[in-house]
Amino acid sequence: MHRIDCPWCGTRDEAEFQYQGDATVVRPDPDASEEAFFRYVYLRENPKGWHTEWWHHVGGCRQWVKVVRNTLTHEIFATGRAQEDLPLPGTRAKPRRRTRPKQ
Amino acid sequence: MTEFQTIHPLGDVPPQSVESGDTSGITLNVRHEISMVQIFARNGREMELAKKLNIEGVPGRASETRSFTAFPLAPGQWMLVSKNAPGSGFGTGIAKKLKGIGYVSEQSDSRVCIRVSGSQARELLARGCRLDLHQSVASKGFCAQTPMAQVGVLLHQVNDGPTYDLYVYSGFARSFWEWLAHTAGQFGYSRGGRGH
Amino acid sequence: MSGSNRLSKGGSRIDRTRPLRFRFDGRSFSGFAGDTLASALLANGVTLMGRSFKYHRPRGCLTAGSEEPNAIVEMRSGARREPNTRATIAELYDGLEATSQNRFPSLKFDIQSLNQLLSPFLTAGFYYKTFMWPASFWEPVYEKIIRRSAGLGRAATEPDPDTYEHANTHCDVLVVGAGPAGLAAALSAGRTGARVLLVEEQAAAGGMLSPDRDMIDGKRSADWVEQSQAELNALDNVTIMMRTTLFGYYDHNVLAALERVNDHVAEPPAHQPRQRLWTIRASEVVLACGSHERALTFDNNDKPGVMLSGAVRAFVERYGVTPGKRVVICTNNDDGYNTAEALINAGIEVALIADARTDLCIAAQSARETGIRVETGLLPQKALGGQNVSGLSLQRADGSFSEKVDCDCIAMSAGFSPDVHLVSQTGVAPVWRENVLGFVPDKPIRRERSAGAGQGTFDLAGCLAEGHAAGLDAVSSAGLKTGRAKAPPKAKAVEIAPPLAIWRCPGNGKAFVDFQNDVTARDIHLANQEGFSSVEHAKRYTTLGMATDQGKTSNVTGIALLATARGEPIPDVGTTRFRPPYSPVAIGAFAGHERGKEFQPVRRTAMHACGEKLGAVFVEAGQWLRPQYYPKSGEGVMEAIYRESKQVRETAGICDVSTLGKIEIFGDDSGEFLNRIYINGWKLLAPGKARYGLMLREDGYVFDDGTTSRLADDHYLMTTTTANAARVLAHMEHASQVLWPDLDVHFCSATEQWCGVAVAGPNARAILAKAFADAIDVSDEALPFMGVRTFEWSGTTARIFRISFSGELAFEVNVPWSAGEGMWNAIWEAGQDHGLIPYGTEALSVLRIEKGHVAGNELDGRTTAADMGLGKMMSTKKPFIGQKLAGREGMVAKDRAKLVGLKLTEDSGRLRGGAHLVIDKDNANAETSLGWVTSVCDSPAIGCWIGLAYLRGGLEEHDGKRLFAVNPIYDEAPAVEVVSPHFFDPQGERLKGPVR
Repeated sequence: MHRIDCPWCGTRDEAEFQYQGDATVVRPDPDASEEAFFRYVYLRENPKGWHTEWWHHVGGCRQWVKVVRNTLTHEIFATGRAQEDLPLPGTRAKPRRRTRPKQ
Repeated sequence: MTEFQTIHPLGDVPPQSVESGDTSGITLNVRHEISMVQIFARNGREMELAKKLNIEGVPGRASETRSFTAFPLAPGQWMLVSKNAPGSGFGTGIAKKLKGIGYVSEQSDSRVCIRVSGSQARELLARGCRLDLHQSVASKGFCAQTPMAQVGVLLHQVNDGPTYDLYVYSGFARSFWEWLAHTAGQFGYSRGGRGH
Repeated sequence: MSGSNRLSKGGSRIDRTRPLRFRFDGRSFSGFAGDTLASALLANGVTLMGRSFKYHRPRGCLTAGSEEPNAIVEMRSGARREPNTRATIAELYDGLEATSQNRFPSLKFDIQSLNQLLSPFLTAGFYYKTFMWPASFWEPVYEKIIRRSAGLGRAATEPDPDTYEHANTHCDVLVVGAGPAGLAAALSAGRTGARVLLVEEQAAAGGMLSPDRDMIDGKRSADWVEQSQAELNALDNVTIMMRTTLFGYYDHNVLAALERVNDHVAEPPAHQPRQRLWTIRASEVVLACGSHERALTFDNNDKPGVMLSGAVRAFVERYGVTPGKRVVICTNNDDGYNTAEALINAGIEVALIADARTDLCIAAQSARETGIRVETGLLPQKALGGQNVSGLSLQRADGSFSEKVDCDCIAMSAGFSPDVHLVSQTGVAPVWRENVLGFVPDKPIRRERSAGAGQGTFDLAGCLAEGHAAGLDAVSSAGLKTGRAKAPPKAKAVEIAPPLAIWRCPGNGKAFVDFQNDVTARDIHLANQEGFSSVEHAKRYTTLGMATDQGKTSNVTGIALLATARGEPIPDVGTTRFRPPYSPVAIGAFAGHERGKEFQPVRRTAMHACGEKLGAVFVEAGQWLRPQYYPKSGEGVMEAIYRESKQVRETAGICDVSTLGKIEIFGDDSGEFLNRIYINGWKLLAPGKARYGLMLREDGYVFDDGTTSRLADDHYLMTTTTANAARVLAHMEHASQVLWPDLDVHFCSATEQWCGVAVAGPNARAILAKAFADAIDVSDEALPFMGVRTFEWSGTTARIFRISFSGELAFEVNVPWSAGEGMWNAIWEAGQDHGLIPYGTEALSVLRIEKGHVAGNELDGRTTAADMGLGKMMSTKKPFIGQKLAGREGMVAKDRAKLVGLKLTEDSGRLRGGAHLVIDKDNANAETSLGWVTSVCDSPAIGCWIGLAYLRGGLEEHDGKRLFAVNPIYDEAPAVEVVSPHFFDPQGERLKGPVR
């Protein structure tokens, strides 16, 4: 059972979230090709190890939370708001800590 | 004009109680006559809005003002709860204040407020609430949105008694109440008079 | 053996002043408060407690704890009957009823023990080999045989009358196990002020401590345990949960425990749960889980009277019960001498200590000095006797015969396996330690550490020191201050001689490894021989460790025997991974409150009571309850639906539509936002107007539909289908937070704030004009089609929408929840002179099918807007979600199944949803299917059964054609005519209404 550090609410149980998949794909511009949209909707890396994912905090603040999670160990390295860029482990320094409620 | 009786989602819950044994038990109250609005700051106007209403946007902390309590729900979003009855113009008053900087959604009827108090209140809530409500972590003014018994709840710790207010969606209110009363049986509980 | 085995003295856990009556297999016995069922039975001379799983061999208890494989019984009776309860942990209460299981007709004489004679055929992999073919035999023959003979007790057939509940807790330090290491850890951590939770499976703390012989801090260990518990209880920051099994260690230090709140009484007191399932979120964990003693593998080692050495000692010292009057102790380690000492202290004869080791250890020397006969290098070969042990033959390690000894109890020990279940659940692969002869935890993955016997430390002084240190380490790892710690509790240092690896004693009979699943040493050998030599394969082939005890006493021996068979060292064989739960957990505990009425919350609308008053039959729509139809007395379902839908078109009807999802949208960019999520345009929608909208998913398929109204320049109200309300909100949150955060758009659900009714039919306007007289002008001029108004009525704010789902002149009116009943009643009264009736979801469906409006059945996630005949709504002047992929070749192909209408052309029979459309009803199969029927109704307006269907080629190809709607389930294939889905009033003249 995961404990996810929601950037707004603090650390909450996985049960409060809905997993929403790959957060690394970026929606193409509206005038991009059909092929680009096809990639955006269907093609996924399915990495073994670190991955950036969406976890929608439906049971709390209803924010789309970005989570860097290890698909092998379930370890969570960082969480952030929808527009934050989160580094993967080893690529940059640990992300800054936020002030937030203890839980 | 037709006159009619307003109804409350918990209006027809039969009065029940369970004798408490050696504990001082639980008191469950339904708070009537409150108004609620959900407010949103326009993009980039969050600080201005907070200042205007004299509230804070610190997640997990309720702000008390003279006329209402503000619960931060999400960035730029609050639920304001006033002790004035719906129809007292609370929502329109706030809307007037926020003109140009924010938006107001009337929510007075969307949730009921159940007040849980008594020395065992924390233990009762732990039967359904996944959050840490221990006094070292959560104290007076603590607030959170979290599901309890499969129902979304806005939880507010009113005092360190502890007393909690649970704001529950109206449609789920009856089901939630039944779960709460069933669970409270082990501590013994009574229904207090009309809360305020 | 029979008669009383209760010792006149001793028994740290029993209260001799409180005798209790109980029944086992119909016979009455008595025991004391503090007894377990097993100790009470032993006290009464009952050693036979169950039959084994496969061979139905007689079995007594092997252990005195939760690892028990043999003595599993059915407890209680009737609705509370619970199979597979371990007699060794079932606490005695007055009136306890238990029954042995897995035997027929009685425990003493079990017909299926004849299986033993068949045992050459019942070896490892027996099921796989025997019940393989013919396949047609599986269900009727084999399964019945297996089910009858392999039963593990009977579950109750009546609903469980007890309640179970869930609870949550959080702590800085969780200590698992209240033996000496666990208590020391809880003390050192608790004294720092950290929030400590100590959980202990048993009803009493102390673990394997001997109450009188072990000394801690100069006190009897029983006193030390009591004082430690008192100190912990006095600390506000420490919680002790007894009778609580930590059974699951999950990700991110979330753990689960089962508290047996009222298993130790006949039935729970009023309002109390039977069991409580705890979810624990711990910053740091100390695992002080202890160890499990192993059985020596010799022939007939499963005979009642053969027990683990520690269990014999526990019965004597904890319960004042002796499992025998003349005991032989067989051991490969020093702990056997502890048992000898306990027995001698209690005045029980120790006939012989057979120590497998050849060197005389210190403990052996002291035993000899007290006059006990100790033989070294001597191994048990075969237990003798009938249903109970009467003797033991022993051999030298080289196989030479040594002697036979008379005895009625054999206390055996093949060493101790650290209990690595929980740490293994975290993904840590335990490592082999030769000096322990067991697997110990490897480096932690989660925030945990082990202490004491759980990591192979078997001496008391070591356990206390490790527990103390682990408690402090956990506190500092949790980021808290430890302050100046008190000194750890002290015990005399004892030198322990290393155990000797003995995995199979000499002999070639039935020597059991896994007692519960009847896996013998030979089975493991066989598995290897037949190629199942990987540990995971051998486990599944032999079922080693797969019983309800999860192989706590047997796994290590099994692995060692496999290693021997493979001719490899044990570490190369490795272990299987343990998974939750540590010990069986009742399904009721997992369900908690979520069963029956509380299975899931029910959502009621504000007008629920109005529906009830009018006799509505309710239907579940997701979590909502909605009036489905309102039968008059003597009226059947179909008649009621027919009447309701007919009368709405003739006079008027009122329908509760509160369940539609309602989302309030604010912001300067709301119109732009709607433009991007709907396929049609929204920029030109004026305030006071509503519009029908259709949303696609990003993959181009239809997602949801509904009307959205513009209430003010920067304020919209969207409605969604009841079923998709939550999904649409999440979709919009994704769009606003992830895709376009720069848009000034804000929204929230208003579903529960507003309730609503639809009033439809030719008289709708007259009714509303009367109900809301002076409050709102509902004339066509003031409120034209698709018009929206907000008005004040009786002191409340109301919204009225001139929209129609039924195709009639219709309005929807919304008021806040509290005014719902008042509004319904006002309209109801006003409608009495106008033929107003209530109608439910079924009539609602009939009316919309007659109009060809799509609903849930048609929005099945595989259809495009064009498939529904709404292709023209797709704007080409603006981008929107799903636009690009909706244009893919396959999405716009001509031969896609498109929405059509169907009319039943036969005089009798009916149409059914799900039927497939074919040209030739005698050649109906997946290849010849042209499409499928989605919605059907018996239409009053059309005068026959009609339906909506998706048909390949649609109207373009099939208009007016005759097809067959094949339904193999009902063996029907009625003829249908393909028509336009707009059956009724295709020009929409009625909904615009005659202008008054």
